[in-house]
Amino acid sequence: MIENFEPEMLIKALVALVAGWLITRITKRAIMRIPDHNVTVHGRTMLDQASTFIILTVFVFMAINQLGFDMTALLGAAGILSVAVGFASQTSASNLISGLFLLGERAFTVGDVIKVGDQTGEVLSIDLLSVKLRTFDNLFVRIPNENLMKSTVTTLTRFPIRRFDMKIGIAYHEDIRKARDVLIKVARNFHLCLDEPAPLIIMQGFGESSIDIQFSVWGARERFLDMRNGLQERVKEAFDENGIEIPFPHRTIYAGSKSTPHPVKILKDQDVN
Amino acid sequence: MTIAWGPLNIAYDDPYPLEIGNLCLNLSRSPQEWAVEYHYTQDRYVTESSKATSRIRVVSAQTNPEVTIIPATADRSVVARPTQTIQIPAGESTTLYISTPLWIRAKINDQTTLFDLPVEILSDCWFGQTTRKGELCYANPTQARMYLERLPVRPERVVTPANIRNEGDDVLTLDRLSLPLPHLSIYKVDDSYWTQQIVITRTAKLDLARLELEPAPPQQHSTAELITGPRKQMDDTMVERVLGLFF
Repeated sequence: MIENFEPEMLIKALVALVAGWLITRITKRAIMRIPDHNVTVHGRTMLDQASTFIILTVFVFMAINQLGFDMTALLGAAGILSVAVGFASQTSASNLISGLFLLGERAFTVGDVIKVGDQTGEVLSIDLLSVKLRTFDNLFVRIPNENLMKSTVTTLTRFPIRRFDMKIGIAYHEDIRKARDVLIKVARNFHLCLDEPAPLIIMQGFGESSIDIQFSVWGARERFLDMRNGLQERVKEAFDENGIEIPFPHRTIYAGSKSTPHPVKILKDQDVN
Repeated sequence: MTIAWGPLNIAYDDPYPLEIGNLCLNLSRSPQEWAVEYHYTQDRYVTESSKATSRIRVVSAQTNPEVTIIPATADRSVVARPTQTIQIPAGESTTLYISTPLWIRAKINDQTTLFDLPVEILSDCWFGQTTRKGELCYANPTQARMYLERLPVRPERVVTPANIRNEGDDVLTLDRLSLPLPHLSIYKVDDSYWTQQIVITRTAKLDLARLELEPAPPQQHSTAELITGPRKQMDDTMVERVLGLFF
């Protein structure tokens, strides 16, 4: 494979490697100088990794060539090797291809909060084989890209505002209009509830123990948790102040006939013993 | 309460109390620390559980006695919603006077912001054509007064004259208006505060409106004194936008 090796060839190869390293550094600096509004954090990382990989590959091949290796034979060997590796690493290949699709789709980016299955967390990195999350209880979760492609991914931080759907039940004897007015007033008097889009009340139907209401309120993404907690606290306070009952589950027992009272037998202590 | 804006000196253990609007604030200084305690009173957003005093502490190797207190406009745009819808026929124009709460800002060493607080709590509000695209603003109900002489003098609020011109072909219904307050300056006229006038023109192209800021001072008060400059500079994208981004 090597024909007529000379020390000069080694120097040329070293020069090629050093030149490649220098060009990689210059390119990396240029990428870091791209203004933030032109590229996302993830885009910058990908650009950096891709440019480093391509430039180094080209210069390593140049160095090998300078050493007098026959590139055709090397590439042929690499081709056979890649087929063998491909068979052996089908899962990795699947993850790799899924990763490329994920990158193209841009469903989320580094820093977003996503929900996949029962895992919710902040995206730390989107790599070719997996996505790394930090969950809110500070665990590091690695999700293979193939899993992400197959499952539903919810990006919680995509849009600037979010809606909180609060499910609440009121007792059957309560005045629905009064409950509605109280809820609207609670939202109006809570500054973290957006004035617009306006709060929404949807009657969900007559439940087993209560009239079920959905109270939907919008809040800014950054303070969504504060809004959600504060709203529930205020609704409870307002219902207590206005004497609106949030009922416990009720069970009515019938004795076989709906008009006949359930027979009750009073036992004395001695009967029990 | 009349506040002396500008630089003032605060001695050790001689707290400076400040009450404006619903904001009650106490500013104190020790050799290595600035401390701010504040709370809001008589506000519809204040509940029993949220009346607690908030605290801000800024530490340094040696505190300088000078602190600069200035009024400022809101840090986001404010959506003013007239209590009654206003209709402006084609070819007509009107000037509405809309007041919004002041923000109070204190700086030490000309660069460190000690606090930047509104004199009353405002509700959040979304202003945009969809829930995906738009801007997070504050909501502010307004009387949208049209007569200057009926305007009450309120030292805790800043008045923005909004001249609205309808050059479209049909009636312009005004049930809300987005005021770009972070881009406006504050002027003092006697005991009241004004921003420069904004001019919003609904153009003949139906879905577009143009925003212009009148050069200071406001038309009505040529003797107005500039107190605070804008928080942000206007960019070109704000000048002509779809109608839905103004009304």
